[in-house]
Amino acid sequence: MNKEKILKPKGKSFLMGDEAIVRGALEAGVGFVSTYPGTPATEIGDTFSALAKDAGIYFEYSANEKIAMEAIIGASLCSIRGLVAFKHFGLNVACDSLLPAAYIEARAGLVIVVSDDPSGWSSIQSEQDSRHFATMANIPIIEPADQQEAKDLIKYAFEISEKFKTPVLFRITTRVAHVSAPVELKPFPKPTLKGDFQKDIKKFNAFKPRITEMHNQLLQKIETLRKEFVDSKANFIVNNKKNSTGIICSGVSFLHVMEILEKNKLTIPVLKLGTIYPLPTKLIIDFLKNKERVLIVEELDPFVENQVAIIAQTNKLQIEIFGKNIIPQSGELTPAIIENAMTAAFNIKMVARNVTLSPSKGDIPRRFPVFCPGCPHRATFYSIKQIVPDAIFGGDIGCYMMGIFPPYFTQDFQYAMGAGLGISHGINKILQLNKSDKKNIAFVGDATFFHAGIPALINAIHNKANLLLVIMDNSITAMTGLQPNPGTDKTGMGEPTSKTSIEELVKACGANSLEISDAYNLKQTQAAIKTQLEKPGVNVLLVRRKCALLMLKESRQQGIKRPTFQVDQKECEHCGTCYTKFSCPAIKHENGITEIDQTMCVGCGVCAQICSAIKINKK
Amino acid sequence: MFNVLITGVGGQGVITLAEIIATAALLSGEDAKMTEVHGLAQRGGSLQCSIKIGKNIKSPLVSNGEVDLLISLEPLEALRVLNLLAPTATVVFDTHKIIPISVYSDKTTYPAVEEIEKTLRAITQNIFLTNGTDKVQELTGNVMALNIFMLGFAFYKKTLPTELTEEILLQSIKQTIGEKHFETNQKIFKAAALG
Repeated sequence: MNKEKILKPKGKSFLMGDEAIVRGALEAGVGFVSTYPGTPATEIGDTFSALAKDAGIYFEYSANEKIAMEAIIGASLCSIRGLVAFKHFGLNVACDSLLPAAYIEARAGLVIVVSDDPSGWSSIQSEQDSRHFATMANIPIIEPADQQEAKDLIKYAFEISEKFKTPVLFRITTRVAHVSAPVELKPFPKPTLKGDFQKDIKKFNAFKPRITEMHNQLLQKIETLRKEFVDSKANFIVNNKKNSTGIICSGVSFLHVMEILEKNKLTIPVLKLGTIYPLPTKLIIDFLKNKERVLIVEELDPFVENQVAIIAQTNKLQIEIFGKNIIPQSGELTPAIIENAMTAAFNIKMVARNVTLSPSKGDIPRRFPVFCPGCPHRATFYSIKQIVPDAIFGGDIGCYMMGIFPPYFTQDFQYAMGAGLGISHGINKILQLNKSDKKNIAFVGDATFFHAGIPALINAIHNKANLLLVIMDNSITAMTGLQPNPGTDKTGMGEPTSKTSIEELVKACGANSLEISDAYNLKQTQAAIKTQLEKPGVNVLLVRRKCALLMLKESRQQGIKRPTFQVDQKECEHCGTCYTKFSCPAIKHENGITEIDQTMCVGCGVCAQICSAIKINKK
Repeated sequence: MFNVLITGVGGQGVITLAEIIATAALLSGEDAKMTEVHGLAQRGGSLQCSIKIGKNIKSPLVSNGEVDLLISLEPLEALRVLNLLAPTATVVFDTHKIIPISVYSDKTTYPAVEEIEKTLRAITQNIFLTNGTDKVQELTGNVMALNIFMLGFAFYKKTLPTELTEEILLQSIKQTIGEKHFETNQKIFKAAALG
């Protein structure tokens, strides 16, 4: 992490959208930042983690998003500006505490950064459009289109938050978060963490009859914001002239639209919105007036479109509105998709695009993400498949989710953080009622267990489930890039802290039994699985082994050279177990020969437990 | 506008290479926008990252038929992006195969490098290939710096925009990866001159 490019006093830096948000927050005088890692918002937290000490602010990786949200609410009650960042599903978790935060006026800026992920580049759960949360919470949304705006509008979000005493939802998507571009920097103030909690019991509680009074104030606030946003610098019109057609867009779609207009030398007026809830009614009316057709370009749901349609209808504007009737509501938008929509809406001809070959997908072997060489999860899944290949496998969110792929198939379903155990419990109750002897196994990683697994475990125990919970503890939050969690001995600011013991938690929850094994030790793990499956009630197997990426990183730092393994060609019987059932990407089979790629092997030695022809490379 | 696409397998340094090229473009006085087109940065999946170099760049996405230079750190990964290549594109790729485990479950075949080259030739004759993986392994004892070798190779084959001089590229490597490994990286970059 190159901290300098974010911390330098002024000039230009090449920043990813997520990094630009960090810089913008520093320029806005943020003091307190919390997060739970989730891509495409992960880099916001990681960047703060790397520079919080140098910048003089407080940063933490919280145990989950709800707690991250609560932490910045606490800071803002002490008059410290707070920012929280997470991916779309993170906002679902945080929502419980966000909604009351709209009622109770904070004492300093509260900005919630949420990153949606159209096309699900880094997400499996859904293609959620998080903007809807703002209408439910009655809070404003600010949305940047590029990296410069990501930086500049974060400052604006803090201004709005403090002026109107409201949390502000700062919404980005993958193509803002994960695009890098040059960003012009402004100086930032020395942050302050000087704050205190002043009691005001009436103000910070929403008991009846205050609740309806506060709700009315909140609704009034939205109407005031609607007027405020008419003159907002986040909204502007390009090609502002009298024209029968127009385009309204927000986010990265604006950049796609501008590329198409310039390439085709078109001068259709474009209203670019940066404040997308509540919509500035007067600005919209002025733009729609005297136009016959308008195209709304936005990713995912017709969020802006529906608001525009309501404004047009209530103001009796005779205008044809195009949007999701010709632009897909699912998947990421591209210039080509938008170009087609513009052609359809405005009946214009565009410059032809290059005709190209399409790769014939069937001919090219698939390359899905895999467990890294040396990954303990591969070893654990291999062990499970040896003992109970047909159990019902409850999947969860973490690197182990790649168990959905062949040859493992050890994630029969995946829903949400901690849901693997919760759903396995529901399935198990039905199996019990039907006197089925099928085995239920739920998987959860260390970070996910801390995040949402503990209540699910307590519930399964209390409600008398019969299942095995396998906690795959690789001692780090691996999927998002090695962030600390309550099970590690360092905080997000690099300070030493006490590790939370998973085994003590499991015992305290009241599990019937707990076994611990080393994922790299196949015999031990397989024996433990057998033992645990024979017991009634909720039993836990804690499979522990450090993430291979973390192990390699530490080996490099300490100058330790890792051994490698190789196949003794004289002893290889060509059974294929190593590459078809264990399936380490370092083991390759081509032209009848099975070999271990010496550039990929990290020397975990698990394959050597499967086959005696695999031996340590003594060279 | 000059569009570069870097492809490879997660963990090979695709994103870092894209960052070096984008930073070099800025050092040369151009603007740049970079984004992952597809994939996870780690964990061995397909990964594609694009860099648009020029002035007044709007959309960060490269569209079909718009890539001027493809640098692929793995042979198969070059085949996945044929639709993105411009008819005048140049392709630079490393010949060391990383066989995806799907070939065993799907019973598909990883094509021979000659086949891959032949398919690419249907689009363009500007193709340069090298076994950078083996050379980097020989030079450093691991393959972490393959991305630097391929950058050097693309440079010495004159496939990059001329503003990206050797001096600017080396400065960008230093700025992006840091001083610590600069000597090794410089050695690897220059070793690529020999192909």
